[in-house]
Amino acid sequence: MTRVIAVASGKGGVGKTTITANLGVALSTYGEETLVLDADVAMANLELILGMEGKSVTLHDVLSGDAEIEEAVYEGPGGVKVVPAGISLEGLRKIKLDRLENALSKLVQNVDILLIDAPAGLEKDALAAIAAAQEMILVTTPEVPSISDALKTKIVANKLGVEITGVVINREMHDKTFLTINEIETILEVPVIAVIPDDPEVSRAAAFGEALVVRNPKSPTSNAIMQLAADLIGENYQPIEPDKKSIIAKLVEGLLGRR
Amino acid sequence: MEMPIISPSIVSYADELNFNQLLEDLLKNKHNGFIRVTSGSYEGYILFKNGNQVAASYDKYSKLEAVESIKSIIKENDTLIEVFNLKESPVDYLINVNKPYLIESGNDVYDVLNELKKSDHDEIENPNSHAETKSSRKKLESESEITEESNTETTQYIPKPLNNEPKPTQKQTIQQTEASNEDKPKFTLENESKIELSNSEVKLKQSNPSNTEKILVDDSTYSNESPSEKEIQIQKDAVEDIEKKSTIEDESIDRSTLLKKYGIKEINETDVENILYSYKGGSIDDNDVEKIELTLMNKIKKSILGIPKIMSAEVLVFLDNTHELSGNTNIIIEHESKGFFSRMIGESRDTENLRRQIINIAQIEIKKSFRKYPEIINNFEINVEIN
Ligand SMILES: Nc1ncnc2c1ncn2[C@@H]1O[C@H](COP(=O)(O)OP(=O)(O)OP(=O)(O)O)[C@@H](O)[C@H]1O
Ligand SMILES: [Mg+2]
Repeated sequence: MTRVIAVASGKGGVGKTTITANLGVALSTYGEETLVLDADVAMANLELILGMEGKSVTLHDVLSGDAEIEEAVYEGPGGVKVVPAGISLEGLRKIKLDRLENALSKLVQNVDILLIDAPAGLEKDALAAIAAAQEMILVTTPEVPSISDALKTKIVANKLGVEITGVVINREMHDKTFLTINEIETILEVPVIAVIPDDPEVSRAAAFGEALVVRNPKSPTSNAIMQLAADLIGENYQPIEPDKKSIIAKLVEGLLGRR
Repeated sequence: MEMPIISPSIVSYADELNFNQLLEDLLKNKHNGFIRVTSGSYEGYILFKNGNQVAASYDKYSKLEAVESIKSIIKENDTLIEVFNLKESPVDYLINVNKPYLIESGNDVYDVLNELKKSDHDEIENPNSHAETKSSRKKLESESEITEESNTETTQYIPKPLNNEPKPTQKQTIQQTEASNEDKPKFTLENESKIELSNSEVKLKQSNPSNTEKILVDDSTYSNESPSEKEIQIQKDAVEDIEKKSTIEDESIDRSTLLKKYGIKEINETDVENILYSYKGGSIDDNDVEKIELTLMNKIKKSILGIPKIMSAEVLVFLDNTHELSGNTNIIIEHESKGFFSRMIGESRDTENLRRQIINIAQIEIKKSFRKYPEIINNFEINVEIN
């Protein structure tokens, strides 16, 4: 039975795509047959983050009836399967969202986990992406507008019969002016399942078209995502600690004043 | 002028009605609303507030000139006069959006009023603010894509004051340096983060002067430490202090206090219903479809019967929800003394006008029923049969 998990937020730019991409790679490295689907046809960038842009057949073609979904599946880092959205604003209008459902039912036949990167907002495209899933991961930053939108998204998802797996707090900055994890949990009434630090490496990795969990596996950010992936499938995860020997070497270097 | 599409309370040809008498009556009744005068392909409007003429347009004319032109065409037989009723607040709104047409009344009352009403008007003007928010969001996003790593992004490099937090031990700090440094053999971390820090400081200073202070505070807090340590410490803290942070926080904060504290609105049922309603990908079930059909039928019928001289109206609405929600509306009306009109103008023209009016009314009702999703109107076919 395939698990279909939507990654949604309400507010835009909070990190859905970043988390979907990296979570997809992370789950694949645990041996889960994982497929990530960029349902944001208008603002596609999942393929950019995974360094897979310029693929000829995309979800866009599938939804406009010009291609079969199987043709739009590509293999990405760590063996994750990717269905790129295809960046094309033109012709968006004629897209039939019910085709998304058809496409999905074919896709899930060969995968363990399907991650859907939902578009921001609560317009029909976003709702279609959420409704297509059984579970939803709610992404928010610790800021009020993002949390307020997340709350709305949560309630709408509930109405659509989608179970909320939990909240991922992204871009945690350890700043007193933002909401705390506890406060966010209380407001959203959903458990926080991961806290991902604000990390400049995220945009750097994106710029290089590399998944962060591959590029920087030892960073706290990668560890947080790997841990989240492990929790989702009930795996154990040992955070990758830096190599002990070299720490001591560096420590000695430091003591010798070579810094 | 910008006028709403609503159904008229009076429809009459000019020769059946004394226009001057009408104006007097409207004044006497302190009428709020407007009249539309149609002659050939020309349309004129006069807007009334408390019976006074406050704005007017006709063809390319505006203000008093327009009123004069309207009065002159009133003598023609085929001029159609329609009277529309409004409440006072929509009139104020219309005054506001039709400034170029305002008849100067010798005082500035309306200007003042306009200013006062501005805030209200914004709300009325954007019933579909949902969509607008989205488009502005998109705009913002594309901007931020272009200026990758600019202002907002850079804040992430800036250490925040950690006044109350215990500083990590020297050893911890070094370990962290090690960890993050691992993948970049070419540069030392110090160099790299120093560059980042100074960049971001510059950018922040330019864009957001109020933040400069913060940065200065930061610098003094850490005067003895290198920038790399700062950055690493922040990253480390972000992860390590998660537990600390949550235990520090008051465990017994209640939700409504929090919502109030952060000004977050509790989501109400109708909002959610509206959101779901606009989603046509299968959330409307067959029962709903029937209900919508019935409601639409009644609403359309009621407003059509508001047109004078309509004796009876049968309205049938069929919705199709298999792919996109779409509909078919059949309207059959019986019309009184058709010959009466045709005496003056061609019968076909008269019928055509009426047909147009009925279609208009039906469309308005449909749009009103799908407030959040007015484009639905494109999926509706409306047929009118006049007997
Ligand atoms: N943990 C993080 N630390 C720093 N930057 C981040 C982090 N997560 C995301 N970002 C940055 O924030 C921006 C938005 O991220 P992303 O595209 O993943 O958001 P999104 O929710 O998918 O946005 P959209 O609503 O447009 O689809 C990107 O520039 C990304 O690099
Ligand atoms: Mg995205």
